Amino acid sequence: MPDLLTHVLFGISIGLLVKKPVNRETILLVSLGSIVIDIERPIGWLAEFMGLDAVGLTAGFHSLLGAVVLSFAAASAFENTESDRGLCFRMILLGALTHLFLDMTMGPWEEYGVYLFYPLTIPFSFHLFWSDYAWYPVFGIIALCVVLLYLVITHELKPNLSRRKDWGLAQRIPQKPFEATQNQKVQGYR
Amino acid sequence: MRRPACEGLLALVVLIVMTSLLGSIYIPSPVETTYLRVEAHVLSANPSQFEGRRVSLGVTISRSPDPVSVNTTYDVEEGFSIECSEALGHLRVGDVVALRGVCRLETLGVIIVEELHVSDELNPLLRSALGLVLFVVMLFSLFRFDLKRIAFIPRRK
Repeated sequence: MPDLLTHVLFGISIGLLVKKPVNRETILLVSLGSIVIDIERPIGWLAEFMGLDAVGLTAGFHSLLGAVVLSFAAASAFENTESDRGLCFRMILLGALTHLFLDMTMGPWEEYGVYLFYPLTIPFSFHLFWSDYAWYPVFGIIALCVVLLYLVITHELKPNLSRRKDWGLAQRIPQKPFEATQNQKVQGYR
Repeated sequence: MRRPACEGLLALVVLIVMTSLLGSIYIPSPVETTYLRVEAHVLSANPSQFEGRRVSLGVTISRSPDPVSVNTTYDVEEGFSIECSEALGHLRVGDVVALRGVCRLETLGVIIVEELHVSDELNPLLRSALGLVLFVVMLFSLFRFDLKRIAFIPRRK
């Protein structure tokens, strides 16, 4: 796997794009999805510590089946209504799919790859880099910068670093035409 | 505990048990590759099944001989040995290695390595720790964890 920093950076980038106006909860949920698959690491360490054999975890978790189950489990950790839970699940799943896509850049050898359709062991990979490739986080930073630039250019986002609570993201929410008309009418009447 | 939390936890446990059970058996890939991708512990348990075949696996070096000769034999944590030529470089104890080679465990007691990659374990781990800190800061700036309901609750409604 590329490191978690790269996954989180790509998760934030996708989270910024996926919902208009930009929403911090969405960014967080997509980021959660982008790292939730790698929960197999601590589970594997714990199993190893307890003397259990948990070798198949990596293949099972890094698959479409794993992505769906883990997104469901992660979504259930948030308290919200039924309809919100569906949205929550979809956002986490989107992040998990981003994770699988990034993992498919790994494994230069032809037999390496992500078993997307686990338990079928068909490897899917672009065979580009080893998992310890040092430039992965730079790709993540570039992706985030490109998305932020796009959002600033399209006026979806107005940087305001003095607003720490909003992570420096002051949103420009367009006024609905109906509301504008109503306001003008009220002002005119006065 | 809330019902969704129970369901989520149950789904996670089922996935862990299922993948652990399937991981302990060898499932041949329907895709033909020059080297057969196999888990080291599966190979160690059934060496006859892979004798003479080109295999690809990951191992951790547990013993490195001193001095290093032309064809050096290293012991690995998974319970067998690998033989590397001088051209492939010298390996150290603790090295995590992805290798391609010919399985000769039954006849010669080693895997003859043809190609290898030594993984850098430390730097990706440090970068992952940084990513995890970033995510945890984001999470707890928006949510708090309620122990009674075992759920993350938004800080602002």
